[in-house]
Amino acid sequence: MTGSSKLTDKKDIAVSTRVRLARNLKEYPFATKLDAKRAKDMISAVRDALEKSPALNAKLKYIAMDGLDDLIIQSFVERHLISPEFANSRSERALLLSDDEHISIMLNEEDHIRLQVMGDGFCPDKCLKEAVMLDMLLDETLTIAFDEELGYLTHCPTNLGTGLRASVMMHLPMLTRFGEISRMVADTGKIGIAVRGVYGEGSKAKSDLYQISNQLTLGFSEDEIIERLTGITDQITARERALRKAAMTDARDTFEDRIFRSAAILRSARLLSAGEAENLISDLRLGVACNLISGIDFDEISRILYEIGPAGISLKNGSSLPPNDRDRQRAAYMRETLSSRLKAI
Amino acid sequence: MLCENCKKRQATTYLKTVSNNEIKEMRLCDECAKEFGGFDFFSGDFGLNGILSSLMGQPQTYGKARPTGGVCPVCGSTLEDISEYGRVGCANCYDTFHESLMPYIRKIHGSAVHTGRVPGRIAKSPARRIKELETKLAQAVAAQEYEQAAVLRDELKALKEGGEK
Ligand SMILES: [Zn+2]
Ligand SMILES: [Zn+2]
Repeated sequence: MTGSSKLTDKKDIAVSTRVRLARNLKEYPFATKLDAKRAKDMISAVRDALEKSPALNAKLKYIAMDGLDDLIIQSFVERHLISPEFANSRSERALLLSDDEHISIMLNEEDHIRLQVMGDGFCPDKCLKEAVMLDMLLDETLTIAFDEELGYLTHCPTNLGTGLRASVMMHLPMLTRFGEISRMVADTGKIGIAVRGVYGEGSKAKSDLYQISNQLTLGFSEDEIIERLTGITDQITARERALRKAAMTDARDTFEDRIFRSAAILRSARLLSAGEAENLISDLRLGVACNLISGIDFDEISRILYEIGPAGISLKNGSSLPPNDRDRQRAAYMRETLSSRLKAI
Repeated sequence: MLCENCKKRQATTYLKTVSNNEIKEMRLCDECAKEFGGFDFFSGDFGLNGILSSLMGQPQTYGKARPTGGVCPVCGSTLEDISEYGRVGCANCYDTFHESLMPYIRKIHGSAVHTGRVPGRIAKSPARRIKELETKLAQAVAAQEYEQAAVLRDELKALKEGGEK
């Protein structure tokens, strides 16, 4: 990894970026007032728009939710392609998904259209640009509900205006260890940015991961929202990097020892719960970021994190597994993925 | 800063709740945040999900002065329905119940004037184009860019005359 790419995509700290636009069709009532027949019509209208647009059609495949296997749906949730709520009730719902899964559009979730673009590392500008492009293509054939004063009209007034939620998932092990997260949570809340822990199977924030997102959607332009988010993530990144550097100079032995112990467990354990694996992977990622470990890159680590959830591990096995068997499978998967590759620098 | 719920552990998560008809910020530790539902990017509403019902359901705003705002002609929603679901019934509800909803919308966003992107059909409308040109013209004049201002003035004139035909 070169120094310059580290500066722009901040992959040593930023895990992934997501941008979401909420849109509704003017002609159809919102979800709570939408009966099954009109919901079907609404989805057909979006499908028609897709067929009329070669650019959209080439990018996205249509997936009816009620035709999908439970395990696949659960793994979609673990990979952040759909919301847990969307997975719960599947009739009259559909998903538009790009082959590489970085674009997912939920049809008939809370809003008629929930368009999401994801990217590795820090890339809100790129994600927004692509989301806007997709929105414009849909807008060519669909009449999107809009009001000059309130902006894009959404089912819940919390999403009015731009309908934009931009979020960066950040890996902040040192800020967590030094108890600085709470100050960050207090400071960012004041300026309309929310910091929230990402909760997995364990009791603490999963793998020391946090979502930094804009709270408000009305009264700011899309660019202003992204600008503000970028400013905050820059500050957080600088602080986390400084703490890492300090640990590398002031307490190198204990810092390295923890990272290499975690890497050793990941490479050798026979049973790993999701919670334990998440914590160990946080240390592994920190080791790669501090140039202590090589042989694996940040994107691969993110992929592993998405794949070791209960459904992800069961899918690798081909069918649903009880927790004990999952822990064995998870440990086997980690050994297979890591044992021959990780190198100490 | 300590968690505002248990007051024992460090806060790691920010969310909002409604109490006494006001939006309240909360900073919670991992464990309390998990209890409150953790974070889901998709519903990413920071605890504001259903905020409308919490706000509208408050006795001090309802009670005797409870608005009887009628029925949305498009989806059949009443204000009671909106309060119950915490969500409006259709795009037209924002029109029908404009007066009742605006105070809540201002309370949630702190502002109620959209300044972001607009759909193509609206961006292309002559009225919007005229508004845009007028703003640009004022800016050009203020910056003493008179050549630029002349071009804008001509374009505006043509657009306004075109509209009269
Ligand atoms: Zn607490
Ligand atoms: Zn309505």
